[in-house]
Amino acid sequence: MKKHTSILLASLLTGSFLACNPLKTEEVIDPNFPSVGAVTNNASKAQLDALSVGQFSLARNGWSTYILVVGTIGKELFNFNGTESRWMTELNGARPIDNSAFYNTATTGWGLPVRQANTTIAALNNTSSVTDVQKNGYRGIANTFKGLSYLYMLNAQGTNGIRLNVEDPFKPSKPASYAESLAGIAKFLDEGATQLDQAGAAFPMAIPAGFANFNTPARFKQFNRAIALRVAIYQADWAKAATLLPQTFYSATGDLRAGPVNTYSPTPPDFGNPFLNTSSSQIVGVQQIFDAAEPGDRRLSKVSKQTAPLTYSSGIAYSTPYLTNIYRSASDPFPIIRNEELVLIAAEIAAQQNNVAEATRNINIVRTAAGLPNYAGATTKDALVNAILKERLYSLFYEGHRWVDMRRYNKLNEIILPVANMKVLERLERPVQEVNWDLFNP
Amino acid sequence: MTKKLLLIFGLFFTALGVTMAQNQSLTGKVTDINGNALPGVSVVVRGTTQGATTDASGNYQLAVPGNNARVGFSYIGFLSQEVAVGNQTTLNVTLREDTRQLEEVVVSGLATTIKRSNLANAVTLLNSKDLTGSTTPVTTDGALQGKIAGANIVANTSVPGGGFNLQFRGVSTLGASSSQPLFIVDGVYIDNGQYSNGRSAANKAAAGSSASAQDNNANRLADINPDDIENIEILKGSSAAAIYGTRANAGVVIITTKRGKGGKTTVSFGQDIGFSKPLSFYGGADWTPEKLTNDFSNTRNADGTPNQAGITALNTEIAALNAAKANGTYTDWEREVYGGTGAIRNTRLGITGGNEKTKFYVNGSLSDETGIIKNTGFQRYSIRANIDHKLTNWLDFGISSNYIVSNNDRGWTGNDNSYVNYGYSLAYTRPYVNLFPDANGQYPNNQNGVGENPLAIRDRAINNQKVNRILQGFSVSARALNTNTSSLTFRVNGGVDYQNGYASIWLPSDLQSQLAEPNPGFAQDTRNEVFNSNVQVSAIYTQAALGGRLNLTTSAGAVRLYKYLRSNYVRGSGLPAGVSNPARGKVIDGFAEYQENTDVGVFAQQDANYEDKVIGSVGIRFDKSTLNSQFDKFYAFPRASLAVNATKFGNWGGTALSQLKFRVAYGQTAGLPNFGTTFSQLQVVGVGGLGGLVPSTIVGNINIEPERATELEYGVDFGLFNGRVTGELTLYNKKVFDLILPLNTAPTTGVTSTQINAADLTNQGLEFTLGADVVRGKNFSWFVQPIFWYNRSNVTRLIVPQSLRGGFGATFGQWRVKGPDPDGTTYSPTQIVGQPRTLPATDPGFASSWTSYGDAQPKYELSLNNRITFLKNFEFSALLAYRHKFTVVSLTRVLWDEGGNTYDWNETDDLGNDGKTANGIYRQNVNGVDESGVPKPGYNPNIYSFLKLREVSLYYKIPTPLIKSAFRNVVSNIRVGISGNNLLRWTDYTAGYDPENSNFGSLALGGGVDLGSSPAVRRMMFHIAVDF
Repeated sequence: MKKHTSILLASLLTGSFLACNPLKTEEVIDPNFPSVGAVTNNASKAQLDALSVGQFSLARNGWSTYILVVGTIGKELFNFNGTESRWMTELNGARPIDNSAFYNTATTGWGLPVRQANTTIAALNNTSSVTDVQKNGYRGIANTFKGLSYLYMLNAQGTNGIRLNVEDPFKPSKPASYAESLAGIAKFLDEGATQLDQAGAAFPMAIPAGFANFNTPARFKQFNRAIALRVAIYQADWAKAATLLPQTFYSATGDLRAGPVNTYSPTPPDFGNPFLNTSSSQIVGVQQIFDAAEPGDRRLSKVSKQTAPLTYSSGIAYSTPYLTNIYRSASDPFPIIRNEELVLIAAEIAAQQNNVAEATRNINIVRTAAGLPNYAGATTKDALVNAILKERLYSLFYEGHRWVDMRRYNKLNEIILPVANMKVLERLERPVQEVNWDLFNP
Repeated sequence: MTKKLLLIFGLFFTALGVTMAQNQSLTGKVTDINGNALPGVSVVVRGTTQGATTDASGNYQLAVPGNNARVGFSYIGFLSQEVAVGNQTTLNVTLREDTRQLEEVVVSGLATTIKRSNLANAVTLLNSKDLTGSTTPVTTDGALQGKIAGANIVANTSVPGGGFNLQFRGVSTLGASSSQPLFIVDGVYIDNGQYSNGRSAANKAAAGSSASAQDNNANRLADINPDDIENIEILKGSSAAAIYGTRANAGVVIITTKRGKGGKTTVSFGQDIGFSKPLSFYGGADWTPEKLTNDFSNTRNADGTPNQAGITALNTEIAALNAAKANGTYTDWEREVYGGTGAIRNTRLGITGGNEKTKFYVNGSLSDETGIIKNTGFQRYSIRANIDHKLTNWLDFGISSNYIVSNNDRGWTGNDNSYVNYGYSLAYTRPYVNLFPDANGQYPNNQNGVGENPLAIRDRAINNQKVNRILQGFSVSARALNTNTSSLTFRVNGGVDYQNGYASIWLPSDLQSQLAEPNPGFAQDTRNEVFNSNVQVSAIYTQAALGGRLNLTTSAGAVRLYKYLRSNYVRGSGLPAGVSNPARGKVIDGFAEYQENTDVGVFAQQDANYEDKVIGSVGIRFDKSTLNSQFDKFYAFPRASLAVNATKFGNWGGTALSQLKFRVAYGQTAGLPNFGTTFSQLQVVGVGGLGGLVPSTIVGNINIEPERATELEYGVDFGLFNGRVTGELTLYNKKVFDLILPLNTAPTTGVTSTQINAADLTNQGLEFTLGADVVRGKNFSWFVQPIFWYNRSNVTRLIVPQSLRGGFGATFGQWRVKGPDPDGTTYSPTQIVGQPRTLPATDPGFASSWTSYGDAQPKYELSLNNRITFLKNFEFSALLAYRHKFTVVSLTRVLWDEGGNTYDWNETDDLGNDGKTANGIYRQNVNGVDESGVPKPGYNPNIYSFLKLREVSLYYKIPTPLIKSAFRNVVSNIRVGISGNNLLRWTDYTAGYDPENSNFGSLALGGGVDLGSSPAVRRMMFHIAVDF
């Protein structure tokens, strides 16, 4: 009896370990997050939709740093930041610019939206869960944001150029020249426009609320063409710009505020508007600019004049009474491109093509809206361009244009320096990890 | 396979029927040198399986085959003896105590053991007497300090409940793999993690993070009751740890708990009562109106005109100071918070006993220790049952069960960014403010810049961690074959470690610091579930060849491990008054994280022992783990070792040398990448009311390989004057390859980094242990044991740019990982560097030209263990530990200097001071090294040493006759004693309380940062132990 028990026990023990193969293991799938690999192969429609929403979300990725950096360098606004004096010192040329400081996000923050677009396009090329027409909808959106993100990156880097091919992040192309970079961006946008043309009448996915008026392929293409138009005027290719203008949502009679916006919400996983003034970070308008504004200009409402001037004294001393007044709620949206910019681009094209009447007509659309009398200055090309640059300064204040505009007309030396030892940087440095990568991977 | 096994079992049963031939009978008594009977001594006829065990009075009876038989006597803790029987029928034997553990067995393989005297590795073996025989440490890691050659053990905090950083033979990872050794208790792989509880989110030391090393948590070894431990074996390097393969890069600690020995049932009761006090204070500088005027006021504007607001503020302060001094409310708040007395209470009740077939050990214990800070403390309730049973004479099994509840209040020391921690606010709190609660229990506000009343935090804030834990081990072994010359044993063992942790953090919403928050009040409820299981199947075949002179042991088997971790929390802020439930907050944040992995290994080993003269071993293990990118790939871990007992060759009689062993061992191990290294994640974002996915900028590396180490260890063991002096000298060279570090990519690609195998390093060192019975007499004996060791680490390859790691930036000092220079100069990965830079700003090498401040690893460590027995029943022991010249990064002094409270703030005599400026002002303005390369006493790192009297004790064993006359036979043993822990300390450390400190918990690099710490403590205890 006892022996039997023992044999039973022994065989049970032996048997149980031979029943299943104790050496076999199975791959552990990330239990916390979906993986990039999961979407590159046979992505479902829901996954493609999520990537597309991610693309819209990432348009805000480097945005807050970018807008404040570009605004600071262009001396239209300053960030009075109580715990970070480098906004005032290094970005204004009072101390050497640092290629590893926080403000390099103005360049690097645009890397991820580009990667998102590449990931989406790669996923589309490797799935059959949506039709070819639908695929073109996703692709058109991806390429449009890819072009836009690259354009911001290039604005920050200027003549340093950008890496136009980062499809394999471990084998990125070398930075292209400024002209090549612009041409490359135009190509991504054109590709997107073609795809939007072939995307049918409606997108297969929901489009975020900030693009409520641009939620069909046809309407979204108008946004795409508006960005392409921006690229064309940066290229000073006025003929191309003239052909692009009617393809955008330009409207001489429409609301100047019309255009897609980046929306914010403090409820996770969304996040609140990052531009709100706080006790430690106040975004102020440069005094010299608003003091020089024409009386009655309605665009002055973008700042509120304080009775006691706001003063900054860490590393650099500067006072201004103008506190920005645009963003007051965590859910206030931020415009990406507005009809007002298109109107002023229309004026600029006309001025460059020596069409004085068309130029002044467009200038006056903006001036009338601002409550100002019609343009009465000289009508030479140079005079008109200067007039347009001035309107752009007030119309597009806090939208990231002043520095880029003055740079493309080689007028950086005409920017007023609010403090004597300030300088206007021509571009940001290449971020240290960009430099290191090329050093280690020649 | 199953059939074959059954066949073997079957054959074995047939063999059982054959009875052994019996010849003459041998009887005798076995005693120790004092004449006390030794029960349970194993008596075996050499070359046969015939044997017996001595009874309670030390007597045995044995059948001996013939006249030329040799009989061996062996007993745990005593040196074995082998005696030729000749024609004797009575053989009385006296066994000598094995003070050097030469006879004790240690692991030599996953299924095999070896006598230490034949061992080829320097495996440290600590038995219960070494661990807890002198004083009772709160946690097991504390019991290891100063006792292991080659170990750098640093306490992270002095708060009860532990928290230690253990490093054997230098650093084995740069942070991407496990920095702590693998712990195994009775064959169960146990978890020794440190789990975040949100404390550094509450005090914003790491605001908004889900997990932080700054939570200052205990490591979970704290759950193991040190009193249950029979012995600990420490496999320090890869040569010994190779048998554990893929998880053993940081070493392996094998803990064996006590088991029943059979015989008369013994009930043991033990009680410790003690107290703890701070070793030192750091503040106490006096405040005077002059000090306020000169150094803490702002009475003049930049242009020299009087600043009226500043003058008014100063006058208010002076008035408050004068008033406090006049009415006696001038209070040293540091002593108020840190000057308390902790109470120590340990109670244990154990029953052990059994018979031939079943043996048991049951022990219940209760440890309760409160800290020197009110509302800190550690309680552990542990019940253990170890049971062994022989089912038949070829099949036996054992189980080890342990259930533990621990409860730990960790207090509020360490880094802080929101005025909460008293470790932080005390440095700034002036003695003339009033912080005591009023008659209604309301705590007054502290000054504005300090922001919080430390007494309110001490009395009202909660930082508690509770753990429920089950450790369950089992083993079954079956001897399938057992003849005179060979045996075959099958063994299955393994077990489960399951813990459920529950941590709560609460900062009431009406605290001064919380009222300044947009959402006052913070609470977090964290749950951690950790499960580890492992099972090992092995077969061991032994064979005696060459007429018993060559013993061969072959073992082989397979192991499988599985681990999962599930953690989640609810975090709430904006709490209504008095509410501590985070789910009732205005802003609620949830979190969940899961981890799991499976490891599988197969192993085979061949051991050979030629007459105890030459002992060799070769083995190999193949391991795979789902943590590797190639989850199904087996990695090979070979090992080999050789020991030669020179004294067994020829006749060494007449020389002083009683033992001389040369040994050499080689082995390989690995360290696994942390969970998630291979994953490229998509993260969740939201915009315009829609949810989306975006890739993480950190990309998983699907080609990541484990960090691999090889080690060559060699040395010599010797015994002189018949074992009176013994020594162990070991040299090692441990090379770690393919260390994982982040590779920073070009960020405009949308990828910022990925983990790659980027570096190699070496650890070279020396370990020397000497033991001497200086005096060996009946009434007085003195044993002394010095241990000396050092380790040097060097990075020998680095394919990514050099980087600074850990700490709080280069201003205060960081760990630099730097590859070799073109001229071959190499650098230690634990080198501490910091500001200022040494090259001009125009130099291309400026950015990385940091000032070097030495190494976080000590130049050497030395410990001295003394054991004196006198008047037969008294035993005195003392353990001194010295750590020589290691670098500490401290921010603690910066806080106290800024606060004006450092003990020597008002003096003017610090190194380099001009004799006029207050030290506290002077130190805030200096850093770097002086002309002779000595670090200045500023906020830079500095080099220190310490000597601590780790343990000291005096015990008295009440003589047996006295007990017998008093208690008849009810009580068999009474031992009383007093002991102390860290009673004395000498150190040149001036930048904080104690150089042993870590704001960041246990890390490979960046652990020892002193910030906002509390005093080190000395503990004193009275012990009584009674056996019934």
